[in-house]
Amino acid sequence: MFESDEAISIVILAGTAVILILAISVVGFIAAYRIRKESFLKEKNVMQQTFQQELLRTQLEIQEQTFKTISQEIHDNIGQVLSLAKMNLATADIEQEHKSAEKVYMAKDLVSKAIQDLRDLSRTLNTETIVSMGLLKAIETELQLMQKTASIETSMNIEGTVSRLEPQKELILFRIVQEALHNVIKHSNARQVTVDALYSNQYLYLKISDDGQGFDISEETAGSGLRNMQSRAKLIGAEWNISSNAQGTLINISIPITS
Amino acid sequence: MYWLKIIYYGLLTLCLTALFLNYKRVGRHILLFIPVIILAIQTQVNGDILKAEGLGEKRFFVFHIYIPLEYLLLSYYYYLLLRGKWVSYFFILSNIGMVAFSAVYYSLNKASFYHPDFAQFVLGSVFVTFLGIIFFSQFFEKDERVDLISYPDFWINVGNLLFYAGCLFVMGLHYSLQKRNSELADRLLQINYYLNIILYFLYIVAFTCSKATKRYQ
Repeated sequence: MFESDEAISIVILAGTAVILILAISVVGFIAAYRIRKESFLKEKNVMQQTFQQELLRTQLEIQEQTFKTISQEIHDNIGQVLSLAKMNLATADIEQEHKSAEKVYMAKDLVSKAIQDLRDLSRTLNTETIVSMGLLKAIETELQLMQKTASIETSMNIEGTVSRLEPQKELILFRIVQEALHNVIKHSNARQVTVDALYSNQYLYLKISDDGQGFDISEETAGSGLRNMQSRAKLIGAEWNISSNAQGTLINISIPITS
Repeated sequence: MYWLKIIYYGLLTLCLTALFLNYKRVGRHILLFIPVIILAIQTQVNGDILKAEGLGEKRFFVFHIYIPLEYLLLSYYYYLLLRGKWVSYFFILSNIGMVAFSAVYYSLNKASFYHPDFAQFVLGSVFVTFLGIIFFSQFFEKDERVDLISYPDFWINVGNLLFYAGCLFVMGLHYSLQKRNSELADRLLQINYYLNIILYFLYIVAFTCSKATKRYQ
């Protein structure tokens, strides 16, 4: 097969060298790839942990805010209504039948209103209800409640094919909208609030606008309300921006829709 | 050659010591290397004793018995290490193939049984190289986090791939060359010694890995 010893030697040496070079290249390539992958997985792990921590912080903030809203609502609204009902019942004179019947009816109406307010409050604050009814329905309910309690005209427009987001994202998005609407009630003196929801192929665009007195954003961005909205939007991968002038305030939110 | 043999024995002893000292930290499947190394030492010692007794070239039957046994243990290591249904079939069939080939080959070439004709080693090397490549391809696709420094299987397979693939030519053509020019054949056989030194050095690295594979999701 081989003509000389030299030929065999060359075949052995060259063959061994080629095989060793190939083996070293394969091992080197795989080791380099694994080192890169390891650093990528490490980074991903850190990001996941940061995301979980942020999510937990946001959930705690939302919970805190929810307690505050409950306390405020009970004190400012339901408490007042029930006090009025109690006053009506206390001042009802049994001997003056006609007047007392009127007061009892008034007290009955006030108690009914308090019950309804409690139901509404429960519905807007219950996380499961919001998740099950979906983002748009939850916003619509919130707007109806706002119209009823704060006497502000509300409207909602939906464009495009509606598609659901992940429950966690919908909930956080709803809390952002809820905070924006509460700000309108508390600070804007607005008569009209509009929420527009536009679904494109890849994004959901939400626009919350009012015709209130507006405010100076540069002075207010340090406030925790706007900062919270911004950080929550960032947490779910949404873009959030605000503009305001004497004619009103506009908040834009856009979030990618992942199927 | 003398100092090479001293290094070789030294490395084998160190391998075994490292494995005994670190047996709790490496995976259980790696403990299979205890019999592999003991077998390697015993075969080498037996070969050297027979050489000293004057059997010379005829001592090689010891290696021809050792090679299928070594392959049995190595293939069992891969059977425990690799994923896939085919691994068990490959383990059984390759071992049957190895024993059958050795029996037929050395029955037909009786002289080869006592001489350095490593045809069965070449067959075993092809199998081990193939299994090593499969290990690296599965390792490449693995989604778990793996720290190379503390992953003994990586170092064992680097050693196996370099040694078994690297020895294919020198061991395959050794007998043909030896019949024509034994001095040159022995000189070239030094490649095998050097690759053995690399192999056992990498085994020591593997057996001294401080931790077992780190697994994260």
